[in-house]
Amino acid sequence: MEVGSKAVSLEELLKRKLTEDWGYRILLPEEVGLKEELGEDDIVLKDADNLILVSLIQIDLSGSLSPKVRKRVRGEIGRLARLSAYFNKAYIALPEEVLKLHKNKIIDVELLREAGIGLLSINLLKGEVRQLLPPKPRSSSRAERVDVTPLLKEMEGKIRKLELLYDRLENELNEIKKEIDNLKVRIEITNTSRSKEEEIPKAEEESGREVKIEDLELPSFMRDNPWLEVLRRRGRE
Amino acid sequence: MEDPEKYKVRYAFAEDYGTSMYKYGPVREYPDVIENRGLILEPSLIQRVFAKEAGGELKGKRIIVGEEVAMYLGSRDDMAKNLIYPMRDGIIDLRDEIGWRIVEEITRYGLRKYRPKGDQNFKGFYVAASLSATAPKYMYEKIFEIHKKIDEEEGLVKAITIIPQPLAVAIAEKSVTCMVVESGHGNTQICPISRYPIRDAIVSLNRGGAEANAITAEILRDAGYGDLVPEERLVRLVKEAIGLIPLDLDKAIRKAKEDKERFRVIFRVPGTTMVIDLGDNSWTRFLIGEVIFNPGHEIFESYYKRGVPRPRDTIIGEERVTGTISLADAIIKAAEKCPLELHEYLWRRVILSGGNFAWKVPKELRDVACDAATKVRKMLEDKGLKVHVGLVKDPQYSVWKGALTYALAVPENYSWDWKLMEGWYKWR
Repeated sequence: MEVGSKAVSLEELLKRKLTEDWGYRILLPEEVGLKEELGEDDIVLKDADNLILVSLIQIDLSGSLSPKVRKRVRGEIGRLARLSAYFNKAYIALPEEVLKLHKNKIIDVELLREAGIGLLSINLLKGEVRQLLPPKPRSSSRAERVDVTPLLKEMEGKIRKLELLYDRLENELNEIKKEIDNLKVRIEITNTSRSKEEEIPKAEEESGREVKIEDLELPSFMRDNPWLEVLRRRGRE
Repeated sequence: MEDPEKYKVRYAFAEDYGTSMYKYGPVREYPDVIENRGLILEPSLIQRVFAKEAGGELKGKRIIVGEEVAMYLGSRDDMAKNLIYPMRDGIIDLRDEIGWRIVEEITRYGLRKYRPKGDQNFKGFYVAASLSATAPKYMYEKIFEIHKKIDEEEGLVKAITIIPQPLAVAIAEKSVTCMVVESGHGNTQICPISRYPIRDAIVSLNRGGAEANAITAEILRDAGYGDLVPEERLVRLVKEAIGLIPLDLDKAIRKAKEDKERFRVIFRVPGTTMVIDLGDNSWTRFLIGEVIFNPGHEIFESYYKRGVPRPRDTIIGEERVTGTISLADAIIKAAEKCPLELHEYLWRRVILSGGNFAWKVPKELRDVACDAATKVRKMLEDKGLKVHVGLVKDPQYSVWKGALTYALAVPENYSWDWKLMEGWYKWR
């Protein structure tokens, strides 16, 4: 159960202390590109070059501590641990009276330490905000998440250009290969025809010696082709 | 005087008249390729006035073929009107005067390119031209006539023979007994071969790359790129870049709809700033490939209703073959027309050839997309047949390679026989 009327004043006090006493500057979630990830009770602050996240947890004390509340706090610590990667420091802030009454039941300090998350207590009556557990500062944050869409688009364009270039070069190379093959065959045919002319004695030529196509240097699809023999008999069968 | 056989070896020349591309060239590893199309240029008003003033008259339309075509292209409207692909499903109508003039100019273009310079011994090429297995007799006569005319005008052809495209594929693949499935832009020919093409068993389908183009065009329209559709070349580029053959269409579509980003495709038209993004409709990539193999799938009905042409039926003798028959059923139909004892040998080697079977399979999509051979094998296996299906090494060039081998091997003194449809046709 949450108390709306207290929430405003808790939040106001927290913000005032953090800005006026601690010297932090409040940022909008949009400014760090995390609008979707941050909730209403998250406060984003800037201290020099450091980005700080404070998550305010508001709990009603009128009833006993329900398992639902414990679960919510644990969930909040988990969420903050994930988000803390984008910040230099991260805190959980709770009303002091909650901490006094239920500290050991709802907060696992070891877990907070391990996650590097700090703990703040807010005393509404005294108008105080105290740091009970300091956070572990991160040297660099990813908070200013870069929008990589334009970069990806640019990369995509470059890849596309390379693909087209590759296709063009491959086609050109294939054409050159074909042309070389064709030229080879032409040269071989010319040479073979010439040498055959020189080799065959006139008498033998006149005797009607059959030209053996298989003897010639021919394109690959003609070599060892059984059809040559089949077709040579056409008209004589 | 040089031995005629030796002369033939030196000056053999092959031509493959595909519906979309014309491949040509002398003895070499690969042919030259130009689009089988011509641009009709009407004489301008100024040209006509000057010609009249000079006391003459312009001889009418000029036809541009080959790489030059690109330099004369005007607006997209002009292009649609004046840029003509003369063949439809591998066939030209006997009375299509413009179509035959384009074929003549394309043939002349190819032969001229390889006229040997300064060779006193050159008396013309021995040309082996390859046509669709279903080409009617008048097409043979017209092709002979065109080559004779070119020879009379320019001395470029000594003799010509014509070979059916599936036989050319079998020759290029060095397979004497096999089942050839040749699928080009306009048609698909399924031809059992056992030393000769078994002509009575040929099944021809009026579908090929053009059907995949038509589906691609409709997909582009649906994605908001309707203005690009009139450019056939662009549609073909998109088809080749984004089209996928699904191993199983229904499963592929389901996966693509579940994981849209994985199948999303963005195509940047080379040399332009145009970008085509199919976005959430990227699952339609699979329809482009599937239509080649199974245009009878129920998903295509909505496309046919919206105006995508339904593949036309083929009449073979007294039998009507449905245009939307699955490729597996059509292959089985062709085999069933052959003697039973031949089946075993035919199933040992099913050869897929033609540009329409040259599909890319992106590595990251291999769980759902496959190549043409895997698709056909799976379709036939689903029918309970154990077959070996292979795709030729260069699907676009195998017909040309086979035709060239044919030109070299068929004896020079074997004259054309209309009954057997083979031999050399000569006029001098």
